[in-house]
Amino acid sequence: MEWKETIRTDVLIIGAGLAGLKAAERAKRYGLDVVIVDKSTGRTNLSSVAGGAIGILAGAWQISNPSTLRSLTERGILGGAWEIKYCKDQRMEEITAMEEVPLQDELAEFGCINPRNMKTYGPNIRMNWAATGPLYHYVQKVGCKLMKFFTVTDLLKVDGQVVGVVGFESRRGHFMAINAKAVVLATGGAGNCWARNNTPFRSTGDGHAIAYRNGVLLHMMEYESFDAWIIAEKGVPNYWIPPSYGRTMGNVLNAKGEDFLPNYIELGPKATLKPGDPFHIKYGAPVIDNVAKIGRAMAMEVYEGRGDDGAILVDFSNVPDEAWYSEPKGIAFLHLMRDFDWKKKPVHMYPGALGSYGGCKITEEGETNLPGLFSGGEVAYGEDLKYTNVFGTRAGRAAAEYAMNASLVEPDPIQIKEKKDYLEKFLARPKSTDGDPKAIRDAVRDLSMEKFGVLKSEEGLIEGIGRLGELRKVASEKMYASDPRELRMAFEVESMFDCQDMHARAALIRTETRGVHNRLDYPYMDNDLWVKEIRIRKVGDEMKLFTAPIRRGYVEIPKGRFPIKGMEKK
Amino acid sequence: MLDQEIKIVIDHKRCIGARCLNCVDSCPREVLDWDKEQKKVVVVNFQECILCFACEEACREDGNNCYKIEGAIRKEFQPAPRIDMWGGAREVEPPISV
Repeated sequence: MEWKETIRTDVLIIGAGLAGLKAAERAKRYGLDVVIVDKSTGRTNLSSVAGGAIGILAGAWQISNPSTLRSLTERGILGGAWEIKYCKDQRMEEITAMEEVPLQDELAEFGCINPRNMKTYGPNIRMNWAATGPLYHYVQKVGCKLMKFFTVTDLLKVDGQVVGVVGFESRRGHFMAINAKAVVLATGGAGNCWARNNTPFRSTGDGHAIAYRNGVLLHMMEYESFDAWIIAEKGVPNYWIPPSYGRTMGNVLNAKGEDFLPNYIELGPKATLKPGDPFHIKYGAPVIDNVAKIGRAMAMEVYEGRGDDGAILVDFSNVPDEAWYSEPKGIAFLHLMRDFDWKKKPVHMYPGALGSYGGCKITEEGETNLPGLFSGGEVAYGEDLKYTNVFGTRAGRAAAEYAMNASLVEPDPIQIKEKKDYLEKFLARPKSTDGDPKAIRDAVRDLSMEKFGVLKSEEGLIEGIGRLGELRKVASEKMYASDPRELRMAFEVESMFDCQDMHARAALIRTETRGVHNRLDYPYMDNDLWVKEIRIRKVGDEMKLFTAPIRRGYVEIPKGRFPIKGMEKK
Repeated sequence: MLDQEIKIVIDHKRCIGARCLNCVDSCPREVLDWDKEQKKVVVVNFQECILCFACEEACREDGNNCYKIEGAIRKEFQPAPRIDMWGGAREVEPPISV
């Protein structure tokens, strides 16, 4: 691997998703040198592909009234806590609720004149490109340097302070160190550690793993959000159906043709339960309040033997064509289904991984516990686009202010050499069937789906952790890389091991069911014991897990144990 | 069900290959790959293609404009339709039903 000369900059941002771009844009306002690195092209990160909170960002949801804001926060929607009730730091929730609103106006500044104009993305599943696209072009226009195809593999530290990173360029295979006054980690989530997911293949939790290996405090790693509406048919993409008018009219059924959702979700007073009615009329409650419950319901039906071929069925036969053709998200569904005749037969679906709630424990300003390292977005605080927006900006601001008062510290050349040797080890190994990074990756992803999936149990988690350890042992001895692109994959596999180990161990400790964390052996939400978060830190070579109370705000938390509907009878 | 077949068309004469790879790396679902022996971009897993058009866009903006997806619906949309899906509650609360 050729060794290129070290680059020097003021602020280095790892990841060109929404959080990274927002951080870059903010740091550039201080007149500093800003470099953004991305291991891909920065066009198809989860920020661009996701579509749930796109509504808020691209202006489809008009939120300007403070009382609406307040009511949404209380219902746990703006706090993202529709999935994790009560268990998030409420101070941080309040910050996101108050700060995410101006983005629509900001987008206009970045050259997106009318974000509500659907022409900006057309019939396209990559919905949030309407919001990240203008920003992607804007930051380059104002002079931030974007280095595409650059994979960061580790941090460089001098006396505990972060002074830069090392990594390689995956097209030509150059190894390079980047020396920076402040580093912002905005690498996104770990959704692709599960075989079924609706995330880009590059979302492998690299940032979580880098942070963990360098002694950053992480929290809430047991929370991986699972989206319910992910196709499980052969021959068509196993990807999610975006939230659209057509989707809300689909009938969710088990193999016996029964509508099972009323057994799991709280019905509203005006629920009609009439097949063909849109979801919120049929059940009297909106989907967005029930995302975690629908995923849990689907998984429980399959677990109890009422699934068809390991999935449940969604019948779209009564959905009129206009419902799909009237909006881009509907056309995205038609594109996904190709020649599958959804009018004649129901579509198999089963939940899949969507985003990580856990990550680096940051302060309100986006600082981690390492001096010089800042973090924002999914790798820090949550998968929702509003967190990436708010904490991305805050991390960029904090990094810039830190860089203004810091001087550039030269990294230790021996340290850089060691990290280069570590990577070259993969390139030097011979090819073997056991050591194929793609095969190991698929094995980890399948194992995660089987043992660390929607429904977890003590037995399954322990067995999963054991099997993960065995896979890791094989990988540490045999995993090879024949070219720089394969080296990137080998590095991703290593990240996946760390991420899934943290996820499984934290999930094992949390002996309750809360939001997206479902334990078959503990089918209740335990507010007496578990209104706290699990934190993880590497001490020496060992993973230490401990609990800490969350900061509470104005949402009152009731005491006691609350059985989970549909699970308690087991 | 779509009437037309969707397919990816690459003009290999114009493609600058390994120097670019913007389409391959833009793909979020590993549909494309660089074939080292044939020395060209190949479609390896079209089944997983979610039609996000990122490859096409990356080729047009950062590459050599040699890449097209044919057969997809390319309809332009006006600003969000004013269908009252939310029972008149739109002014009070945002349409959170989907």
